[in-house]
Amino acid sequence: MALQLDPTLAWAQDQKSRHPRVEIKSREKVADIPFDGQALTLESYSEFSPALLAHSSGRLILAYYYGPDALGKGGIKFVYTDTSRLEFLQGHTDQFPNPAASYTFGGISMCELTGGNIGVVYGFYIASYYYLWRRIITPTGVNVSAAEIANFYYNGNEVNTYPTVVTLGTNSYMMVYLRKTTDCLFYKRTSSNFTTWAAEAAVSVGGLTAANYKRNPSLTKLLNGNLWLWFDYTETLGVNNEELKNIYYSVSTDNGSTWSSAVKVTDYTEFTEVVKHPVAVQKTALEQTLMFTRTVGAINMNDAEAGWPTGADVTQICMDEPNGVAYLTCIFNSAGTKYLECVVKVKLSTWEVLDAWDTTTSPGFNIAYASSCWWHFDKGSRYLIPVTTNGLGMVSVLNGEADTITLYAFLDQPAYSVTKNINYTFPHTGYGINKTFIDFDNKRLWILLVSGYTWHTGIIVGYINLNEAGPSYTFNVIVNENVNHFTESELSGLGTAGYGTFEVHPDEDYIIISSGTYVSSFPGFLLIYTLDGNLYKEYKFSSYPDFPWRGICKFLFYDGKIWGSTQYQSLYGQGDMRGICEINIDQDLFIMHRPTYVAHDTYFYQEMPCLGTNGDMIWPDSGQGIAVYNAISETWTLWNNGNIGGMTPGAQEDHLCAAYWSEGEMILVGEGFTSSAWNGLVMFSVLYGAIQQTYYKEMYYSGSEWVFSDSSRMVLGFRDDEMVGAVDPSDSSSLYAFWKRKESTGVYSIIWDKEGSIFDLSPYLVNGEEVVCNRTIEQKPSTLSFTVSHGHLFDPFNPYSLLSTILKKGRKITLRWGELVGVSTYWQDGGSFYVTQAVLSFERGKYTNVQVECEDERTVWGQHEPITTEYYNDYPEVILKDILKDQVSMIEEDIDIPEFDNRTRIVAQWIETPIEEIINQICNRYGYYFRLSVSGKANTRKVSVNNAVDHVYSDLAAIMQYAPDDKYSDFVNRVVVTGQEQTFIEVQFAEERVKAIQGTVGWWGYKNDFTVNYSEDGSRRCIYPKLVVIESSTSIAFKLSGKIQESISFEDPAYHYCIVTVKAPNLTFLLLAGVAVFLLGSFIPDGVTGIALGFIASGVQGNTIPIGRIIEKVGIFLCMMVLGAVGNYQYEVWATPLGNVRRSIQSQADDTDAQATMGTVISKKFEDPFCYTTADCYNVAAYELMIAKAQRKRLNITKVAHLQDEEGDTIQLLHPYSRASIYMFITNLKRSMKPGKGGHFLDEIEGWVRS
Amino acid sequence: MPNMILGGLTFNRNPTKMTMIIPDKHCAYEKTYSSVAFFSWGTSIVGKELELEWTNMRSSDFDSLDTMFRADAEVNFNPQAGTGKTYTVNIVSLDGAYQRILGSAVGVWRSDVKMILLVMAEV
Repeated sequence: MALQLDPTLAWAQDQKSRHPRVEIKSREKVADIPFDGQALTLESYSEFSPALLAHSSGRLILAYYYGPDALGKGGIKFVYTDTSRLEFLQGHTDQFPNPAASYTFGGISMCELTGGNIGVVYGFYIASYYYLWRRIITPTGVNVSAAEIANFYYNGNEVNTYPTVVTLGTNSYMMVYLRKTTDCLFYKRTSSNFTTWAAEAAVSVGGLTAANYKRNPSLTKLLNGNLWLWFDYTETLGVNNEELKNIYYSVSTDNGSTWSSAVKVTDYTEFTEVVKHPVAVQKTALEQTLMFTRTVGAINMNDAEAGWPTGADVTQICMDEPNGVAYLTCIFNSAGTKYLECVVKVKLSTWEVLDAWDTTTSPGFNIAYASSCWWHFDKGSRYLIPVTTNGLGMVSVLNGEADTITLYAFLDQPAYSVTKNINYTFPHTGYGINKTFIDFDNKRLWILLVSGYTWHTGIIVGYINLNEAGPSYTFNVIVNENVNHFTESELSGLGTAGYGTFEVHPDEDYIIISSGTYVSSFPGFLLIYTLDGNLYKEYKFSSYPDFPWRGICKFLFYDGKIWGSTQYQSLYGQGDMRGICEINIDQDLFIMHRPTYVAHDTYFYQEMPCLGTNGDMIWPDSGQGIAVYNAISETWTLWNNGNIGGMTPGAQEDHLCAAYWSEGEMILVGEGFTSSAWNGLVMFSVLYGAIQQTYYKEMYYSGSEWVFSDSSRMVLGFRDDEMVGAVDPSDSSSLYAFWKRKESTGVYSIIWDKEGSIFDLSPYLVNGEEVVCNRTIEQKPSTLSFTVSHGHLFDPFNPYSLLSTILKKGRKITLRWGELVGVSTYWQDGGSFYVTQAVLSFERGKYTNVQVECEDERTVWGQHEPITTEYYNDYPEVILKDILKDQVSMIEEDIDIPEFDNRTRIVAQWIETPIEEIINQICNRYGYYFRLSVSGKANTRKVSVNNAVDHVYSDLAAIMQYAPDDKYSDFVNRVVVTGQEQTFIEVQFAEERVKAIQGTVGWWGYKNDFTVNYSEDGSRRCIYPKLVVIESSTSIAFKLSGKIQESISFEDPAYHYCIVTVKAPNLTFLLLAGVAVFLLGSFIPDGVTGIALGFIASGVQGNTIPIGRIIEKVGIFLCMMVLGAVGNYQYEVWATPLGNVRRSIQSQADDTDAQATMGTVISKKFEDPFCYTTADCYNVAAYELMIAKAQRKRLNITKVAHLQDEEGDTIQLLHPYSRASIYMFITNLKRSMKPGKGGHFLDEIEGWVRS
Repeated sequence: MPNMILGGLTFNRNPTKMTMIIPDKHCAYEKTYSSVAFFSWGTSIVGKELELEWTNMRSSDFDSLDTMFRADAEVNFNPQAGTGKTYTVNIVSLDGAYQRILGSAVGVWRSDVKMILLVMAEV
C-alpha cells in the first residue's frame, strides 16, 4: 500500500517551488540506560572521585583525583567542555607536593560562584591530619586561588572530611562534611565569597543514632530552593564489624538552618549487601534521579527471578561467550526420581533471564523429561545444549539462539509418543546413552553408549550431524568396543557409581573417556581414541602403576595435557596420591597436585570444573568452596564465604558446577545440591574483589510527596562506583553521568555516558554534498549516505570529544524527509539505518568531513550466524513472522506482513541457513519481496506489473529524464518450474548385492543361520532376496550323505532382513565306520590261494591274498573321504531395495507472443522446493516469466522528488513524446538531496512498464 | 556612522569597500520537460564570507588585526551597519602591502589591506 502523506506535505510535493528539508538523527540501538560508558582518558594511572557541575554557560566542569602517575605524583585534574558540550578540554591540574601514595584522597565537590567562577572543596589525609581545602577556578579551568579551610588531627577515631558544597544564593555558599570522634556528626560552614568561611557548626539531623557512621554526604539544591542532604548510614554493626547500610536523606527548607529527620529510601537488610555514595540530580520540578552504589561479594539469582521457571538445581553451565550468555541446565537433585526442571538462558552483563525452556514451554522438552533425566551426562557448547533422559535412549538438543529443540531417539517410547528416529540399533539391550558432548565448530552431537551388563560390557562412541535434516538421523559409529573389553566394575565409573567424563577434541584428534568411581574397590581408567576410532591410549593401573587406581573423575584439557580429579586409594602403593592428576599424554607421565588449602584424602572435585585464564583451573569443592589451581604457578587458592562476603546465600558451600565468563572476568557457580537450602546461580570476581554496581531510583513528586521507583541498574558493568551526574543544560529529560570503573589492570578510570543520546546531525550536513537513500525490491538492505562536518569531533577515536560515539559503527540513524510550508516543516519518515562505515581523514590545510554510509537492519541480519529453524508446516506469513520474532527479536507491533496471494502451506526446516536467505526463499516463491518500511516495520509487497496504480503524474512537470533500458533482459520466453509432491510413494530400485557370506563346512557337521540385514543400521527395506552361490563345498562324502543345503530360509515380512541357512550333514558315523573297517581288517590275516582262508599250513605253497590289508585300505579310504569332506563356501545375497520418493511435478508458462515473434522457444528451468503441485509450479513459472518480460520493458526516469513514492509502488506517467499513459512498477528508487547552489531534490527511478 | 569594531579593535578608518551583510540564499533549480522545479533551503548569514578592503590602514590597526588573525580564535564583529546586529566571525585571511612614501617611516601605513571574515553566528 502506498504511503499516505500529511495532506499539506502532499500538496507541497506538487508545487513548482519546493522547500525540501532533511533530518538525520543518531541514537543508541538499545536503551541508553543501563549505560555502557566510555573512558574519559587513556591514562594508565588511576582516576577517581569525580565531581561534576553543569555551568550556567552550558559547559560541563569535571574534577577528579588522579595518581600516582609515572612520577608517583597525584592531585586533582579539572576538565571542562565548550559551551555546546562538544569536546573535553584540559584545565588546571592541582598536583599535590608529596608522592600521591602518601595521601588518602577524599571527595571533591563544586558549585558555581556568583560571577561565574567555580568553587571547589575537597578533602585529603596525610601525615596524621585530615585537611579541608577550597579552590576557585574559572569555567575554562584556570586556577584563581586555593587555601586550606581547616585540618583535624587524627587521634585514633575516624574523621571523615569528605565535603559537599552548594550555592545558596548570590554570594552565599554552604558546605557540609562529616566528622566522627565519639559521635559521627554533620558539620556545616558558610561563606559569602568562597574565600573566607565561618566556623563550623553542627547540623542536627533527627532520627539517627549519633554514634553510627554516616558517610558520603551529598547536597542537592532543588528548583524550589529546598536543600536535600543525601548520605549512607550504618544502621547496625555485625559481629565482625560488618555494616548494615542504607541510603537516607534530610531536607532543609531554610537554607540549611534546620533539617528534617532522616528519611530512609532503601531497605537493604543483609550485611553482605552494602549501599553507599548517593547522589541526586533534579531534572524538573517533579522529577529527580538518585544514583548510588551497591556492593556485594557476589550476585545471585534463582527461580524467583522473572522468566526463570520453577526449579533451580543448577547442574550444568554452558557459556556462550560471543553472546555474553550462560545456559543453565537445572535438574532435580534431591532424593527420588531425577527430572529436568528447566534450561535457563541468562544475559550476564545485565544479569537477567532472557529465555527458559522446560516440558511446558513451546518449544519445549518432551514430557519424558518431567520424570526422567540424569544430571552429569551432557556437555553443551555455546548455544547448543544437550539434555539426556535416564535410560530412555533419548537426547534433546536445545538451540538457544534459534529457539528450537530437536529430539534424537534411539528407541521407540510409545508412552511419551516418541518414535525412534536414529538409524541405529543398540547391539543389545544392555546399552544406553551414557554421556553426550557438543562439538560446536563441526556441529556434531557426540554420544557415548555404554553397556555395563556383566556378560556383555562395551563402549560405543559415535556422532549425529546436527546439520542433518530430519525426520530421521544417522548415528555415525566411530568407536565400537562391544567385545567385553572392560569389566563391569571398570565401567561403573562411567555410570551411576561414578563421575566419569566424556569429551571430544577434534583439533587434537582425541576422543577422551574417563572412568572414576566412588566405590573404593572399583578400578577406573582413561581412554583416548583418535577420531578414526583407533585406541591411542588406555591408561589403567594394571598397565601404568602411577596412574590413579580408581581412575579419573572429572578432567580438564589444558596445554595438551589432561588434568583430572581422583578418588583416594590407600592401597597398591598409591597412599600418597591425592588431588589433581596431571597426565602428560606424550610421555605417559602422571603427576599429582595436592591442594594446599585443606588436608583431605579425597577432594570433592567430582562435579563440573572449568578453565579460567592464564592457567587457572576452577574446581568446585563442595563443602570447601571454589578451588582455583594455577597450572603455571602451581598454586592453589580457595574462594568461599570466608573471603568473599555473601558469596552464597546462607553462606553455604555446596557447589555443583562452575564456568568462567572471560569477558566479564567472572566465575559462575551453580548451586544445586540436595542438602542446600538455596539453589541457583552465583557470580563473583576473584580478580576485582567485591562486585560494585551503580543503581538508580527515579523520584516523582506527586503533589504532596516524593515517590521513589524501584532500584534499577544504571551501568552494565560490575566494577562501577562513585557516580555523579548533571542534567543536560539543553534537555532536562537527559543527564550526563561520570563514574569510576576498576580496570583489569587494577587502576581506576573515569567513565562517562549520557542519557537521552539522540543527536541531531542535520545541522552538520555539508552544503553541496548529497544525502542519498537507495531502496530496492532486490532483497538487499536499503542504504543511506551523507556527509557531515566537524570530522574531528565525530572521529570515533577522539577520546576528548563528546561526539565520538555519534557515528560509531552500529549506531542507529533515522532519516526524515520534509518540506517547509510557511513556517512549519512537515515530515515523512525515510527509514532507520545503522552506521556501517564512517570515513574521514585528517590532512593539514583541509577541513575534515565525515562520509557516512548506512544500511538498514538487514545488514546486521546478514552477519548473524546461519540458523537452524524449527520444522514448519504453515503459511508463509506465519513462518516469516515466527522467524522475525525468534531470530531477530522483532516484536509483533513492528511486523506488518499481509496474507500472501495464492498462499499454500510450506513444509520445511532450514538447516544452517542465513536468515535473509530464508526470508528471500519464502518471498520469491509467492512473488513478493521483503522490506523494512520507512517507518521501520517488517513488510512484504507483491512484485507485479499489474498492481494498482498508487500515484498518477498527469503531466510532465516533474519529469526530467526518460530512458528505456532493457540491458538486464534476455530472450527467455518460457519458464519451466519443477517441484516435488509432498507425499512419498514406494518405489523399487535396481537389484543390488546387499551382503557376502563366507565360511567353512566339514565332516563334523554344520548348520548356521545368517541374519542378513539389508543395511548396517537395519533400517533399509528390500524385497526379492536372492542367494547367489559363488563357491560351495562338494565332496563324495557329502554327496553320498545328502549334500550341503544352502538357502534363504526366512524373509522378514517387514523387508529389513532375511536369514540364510547353511547346513552340511554330519559324517562322523562314516568316519567311525571307516575306522572300524580298518581295525577289522587289521585282524584278518592274509589268505593263500587254495588254502583255507586264514590258515597257512606249513610247506603248503600258494598265492597270498592280503584280505586284511585290503579291508584295512577300504577302511582307510573311507576315513580319508570323510576327513577330506572339508571346504569353503561363499555366497552373495542380492535383493531389490525399496525406497520412498516424492514424485516430481512440473509446469510451465509461455510468452507466446515472444515465441511467435522470435520463432523459437527459449526456456529457463529451475526447481522450487516449495512447489508441491502443478498449480504451485505454474504460479512460480508465471511469476518468473512476468519478470523476464518486464525486464525487457525496463525504464529509467529522473523526476523531482515526491515523498509519496516508494519502491514497489506503481506510478502512472505520460510518455514524453506521445503523451500516452505509462504504468511503471518501481523496482529501484534513489532519492537524493543536495542542498545549496547547484543542488537538487530528485528521485531516480528504475522500473518495469506494464505491457 | 561610528567605526566598526572587530574583537577589541575599533578601526581608525572603516573599510574602503565591504561586502553587504545580508544572508545568502541557498537555492537551485532544475528544468523539467514542461516546467521548472525550484528548490530553496532558505537564507542564512552563517557561513557567508565578508570581504573588507582598505586602501590605506594605519600599521597599528593592521598589527592588531594581525594579532587577532594569529590568535586563531573566533572574535566578535560589530559592523556598525545600523542594524544593531553583531556577529561571531573567524578571520579567514588577512593581507596587504607596505606603504612606503617619501618621508614616511616604513611602519606607519599599510596599503591595499584585504581581510576576509567568515560569519560563524549572529549574536
